[in-house]
Amino acid sequence: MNNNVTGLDIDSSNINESVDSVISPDEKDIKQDNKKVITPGQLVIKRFLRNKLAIVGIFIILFMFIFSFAGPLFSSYGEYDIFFLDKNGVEFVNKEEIDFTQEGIALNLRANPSLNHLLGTDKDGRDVFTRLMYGGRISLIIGFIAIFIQLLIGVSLGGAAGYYGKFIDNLIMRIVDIFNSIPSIPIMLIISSAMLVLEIDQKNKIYILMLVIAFLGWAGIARLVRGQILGLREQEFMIATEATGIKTYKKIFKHLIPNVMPQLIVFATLGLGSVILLESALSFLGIGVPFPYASWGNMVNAVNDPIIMNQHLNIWLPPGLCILVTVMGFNFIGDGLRDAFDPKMKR
Amino acid sequence: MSKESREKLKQISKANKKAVNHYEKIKKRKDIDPSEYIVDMKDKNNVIEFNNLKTYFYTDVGIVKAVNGVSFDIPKGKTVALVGESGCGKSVTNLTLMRLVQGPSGQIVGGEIRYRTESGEVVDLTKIPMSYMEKIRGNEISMIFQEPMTSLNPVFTIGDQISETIELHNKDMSKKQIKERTIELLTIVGISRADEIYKSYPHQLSGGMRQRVMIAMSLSCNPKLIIADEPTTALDVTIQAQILDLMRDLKNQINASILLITHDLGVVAEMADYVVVMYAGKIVEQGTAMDIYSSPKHPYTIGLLKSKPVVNKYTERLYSISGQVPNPIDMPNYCYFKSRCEKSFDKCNGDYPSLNDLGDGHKVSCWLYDKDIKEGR
Amino acid sequence: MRQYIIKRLFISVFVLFGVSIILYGLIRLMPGDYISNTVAGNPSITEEMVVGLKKLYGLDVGIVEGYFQWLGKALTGDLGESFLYKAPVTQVIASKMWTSFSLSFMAFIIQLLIAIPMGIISATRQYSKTDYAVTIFSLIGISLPSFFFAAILQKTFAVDLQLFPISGMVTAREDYEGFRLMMDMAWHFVLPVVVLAFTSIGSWMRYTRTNMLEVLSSDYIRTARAKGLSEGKVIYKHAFRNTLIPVVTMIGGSIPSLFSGAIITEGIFAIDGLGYTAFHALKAGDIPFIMGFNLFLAFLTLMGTLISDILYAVVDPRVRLS
Repeated sequence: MNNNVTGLDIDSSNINESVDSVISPDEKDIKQDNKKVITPGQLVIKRFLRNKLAIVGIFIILFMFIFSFAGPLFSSYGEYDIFFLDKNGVEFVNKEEIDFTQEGIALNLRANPSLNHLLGTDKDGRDVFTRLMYGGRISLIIGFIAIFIQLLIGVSLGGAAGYYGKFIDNLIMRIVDIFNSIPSIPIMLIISSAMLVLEIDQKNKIYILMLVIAFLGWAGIARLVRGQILGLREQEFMIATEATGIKTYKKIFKHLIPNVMPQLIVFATLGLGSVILLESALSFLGIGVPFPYASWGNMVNAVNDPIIMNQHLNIWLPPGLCILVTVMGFNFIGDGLRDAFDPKMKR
Repeated sequence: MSKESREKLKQISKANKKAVNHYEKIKKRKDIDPSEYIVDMKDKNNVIEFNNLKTYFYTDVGIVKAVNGVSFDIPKGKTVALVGESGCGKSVTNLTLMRLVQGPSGQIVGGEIRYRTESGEVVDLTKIPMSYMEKIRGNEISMIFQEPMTSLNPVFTIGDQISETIELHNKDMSKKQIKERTIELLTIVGISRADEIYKSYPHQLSGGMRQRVMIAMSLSCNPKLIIADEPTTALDVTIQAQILDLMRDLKNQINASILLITHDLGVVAEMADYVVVMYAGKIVEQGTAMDIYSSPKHPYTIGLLKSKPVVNKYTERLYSISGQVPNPIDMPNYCYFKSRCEKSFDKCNGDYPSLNDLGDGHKVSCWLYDKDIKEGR
Repeated sequence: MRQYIIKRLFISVFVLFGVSIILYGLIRLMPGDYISNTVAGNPSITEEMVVGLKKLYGLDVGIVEGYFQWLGKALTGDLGESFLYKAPVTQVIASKMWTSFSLSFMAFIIQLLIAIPMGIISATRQYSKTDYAVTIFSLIGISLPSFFFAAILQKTFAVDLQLFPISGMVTAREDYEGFRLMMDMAWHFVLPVVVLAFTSIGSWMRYTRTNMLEVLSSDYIRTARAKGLSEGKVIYKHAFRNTLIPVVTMIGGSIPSLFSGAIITEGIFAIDGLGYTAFHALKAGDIPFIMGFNLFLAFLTLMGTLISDILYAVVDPRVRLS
């Protein structure tokens, strides 16, 4: 059973005010003794922590971080290590050139899970479990950096559009429209074939991938920020900043941006999930994170081989589950944050 | 947040869960036996009798006793005004009467609201089944809300929304009759182009017009009681007077009672026969409008009246009651007004003062007027 | 209202113009011998076609001049000739999009039939067990990568249980006709439709739920209750009509995107729709097709916004008359 929150420090925050209006317009002005004032921030945290799904999400993401960033430190295998078997069936890793002429040496590929290889080896003889950890690294890093760039572009352009209005607003919003109508996967297809022709280094391809994902995704943030700021600009406190002659950048960064923060945080959290999803889809298609780098998406790609699909679930199932669980974790958190920030979603 | 307070919050939510489940279970029962809600009226000249009504909100930080033992009557054909600051529980009182308190956190935990239905049955509105309540709502007891701008459904026409109420409670009326009645109602509330307004959507009307529509809707079934929750607060001053005049005239025409909820003492003076003053969920003073205006007794009522500007009277500075309404959670057991009261004395540290009748139904809840004290104990 | 639509149309033209500049820019950014390189290993592409392509994109002239040459042709519907399919791009798109549409449309209908009622139920019973179940279900749907879900379905239902065909649109070597052919195709569509429906059902549920919750907390719902309406009427007449406004607008806006084809799902299940075609076209270096396809997608997106703007005015009386 869930209870409304009422009668907590109502003075400053509109969050609390609307919480109260949920109960009855009359509870609004009940004041609270100073000794036990709960700030709006604390209220948000409290509401967030009560959301069981959000807590599950936090644990999932924490686990994924530890797994993919700290995990490799405890593993003696490298991301691209290829395992071989000699003629006696003894496994070894040889980072130098292999002399295949030597008799009985074979790649240890598609090995079943064992103590040596917790999830077996993939079709090239690499350790799946190790690659799972490195794949998580790539996915999470790409996710965070892409979202960061998106926020940077989205907030500045959206903020400018909302704040200056008129011609600038019109111009920026049309650019937003343009970027909204560009389909991400086909564009990535073109770019990836261009990269192929230009013979771009595999490592640099990852950076380009990040940039492309960021450039294709900022439009939503810009639209959100612009809408919020347009609404805020009309409010009394902004007219007050006008009257007191506060500098423009201070107006934007001290008075406007903090008011958009809750929506931005929610958007960014949910966005992280969708960026990871997009990256994995691109990698699955072979136009995302390139081999030999591991990514959960390109690891699932092995499923295109019917033999792997049927007999080696250990190769494609774990990375797929990792994508699902990670994206779900971000979505759980984002959903919980939205509920916690939005007083209408009373609990 | 400290560990202690976290523990406390946990305890509260546990206790709340239990209490709320208890009341929700009672509410959700089917086949409630009539003996549970059939009661007797104290005075048959009353439309409604509130008896020790209690409505609590089970919140995260504790129980808010929004209505805490309220008793008063609404006589037939009279206007009773419920006055008090925001948050004193006056709106919750009327929502309780209509059984519109938002669950699960808001629950009616005790007391009675006795009401004689049109069929002659006297029932306790707090205990009747929801299906019974639905027959009374809009039909015998109707309501006008504070916000005319948002209280009408934006996607239905004015005509649809008024007809809906008539149709719901008058199954034998034909479509044509319903439409005629709707247009008649619109004319009654002073809307000139009734035919045109019938087909309009709410957003096409001004606030004053919408409030007229709300009044027309509330009148549609000739109710015995109209609850008006701050009906003029959201309107322009010039429109306010028109709406109040209209309500008074109409009330007399259909001989209904009005429960007027307001914080505007000017409105009270203009409309009310009886006044009930509430403070922090309790009644502090009640009596006829004359009693309250000419000889207010409770320091809170006196303060309220003093803080109202009077034309043609010079004052240095408008009076204001110092301090704030106390924390609604964990109320003290002495008088709630004590900390803000100018006249408090040692007796005020004792129990909460009971409501004393000073004669002719003028009641006040204050130790200053306690019989024992007055008579020198 | 009319003025508004004209304004939106004008904006759409402008946006399409912008998209075309970006697309053209991308092609021009590629190194000069890109086309020769891509087509070098492909014996089916003749010298003639290469010359035609260079001419189409104005690769032999300056970037500005080239752009306008290309734009002029695009405006008359000439998007060039597809290398891979040896037919005008517009023709290929027109012939493939109906397959994509029928696949997406089935998934779309299933989504709405499940998502809208579930969203409403979950809002009216906020924080009940049903609500939690719906929330978790929809969040899983949102988080599930379609290619992974498709692989799981193929493995369980096609390989292990052998209930459905693993991929393709018709059973080979059976030469069904008429009704049997339709049934056979429907059979092949089951798994891809499930993938498409399940991966986007969640957002529809959340959307319906959020809107319903907002409506349920509004003043006019309290008015409806105060009138004496039963809870059912309050929800399914007063609240539902208001919830429908944003939902219908969204639905209308999504219809054009049903033609766009799903690259991943169609690819995995070998459904010969637009997405599948595009993917193969790109692998074969079929630049005219990809360019045309991208332009087509941008056009669909703009159609979507336009339709939802217009629908908004149709369903919401507040917009309709002002």
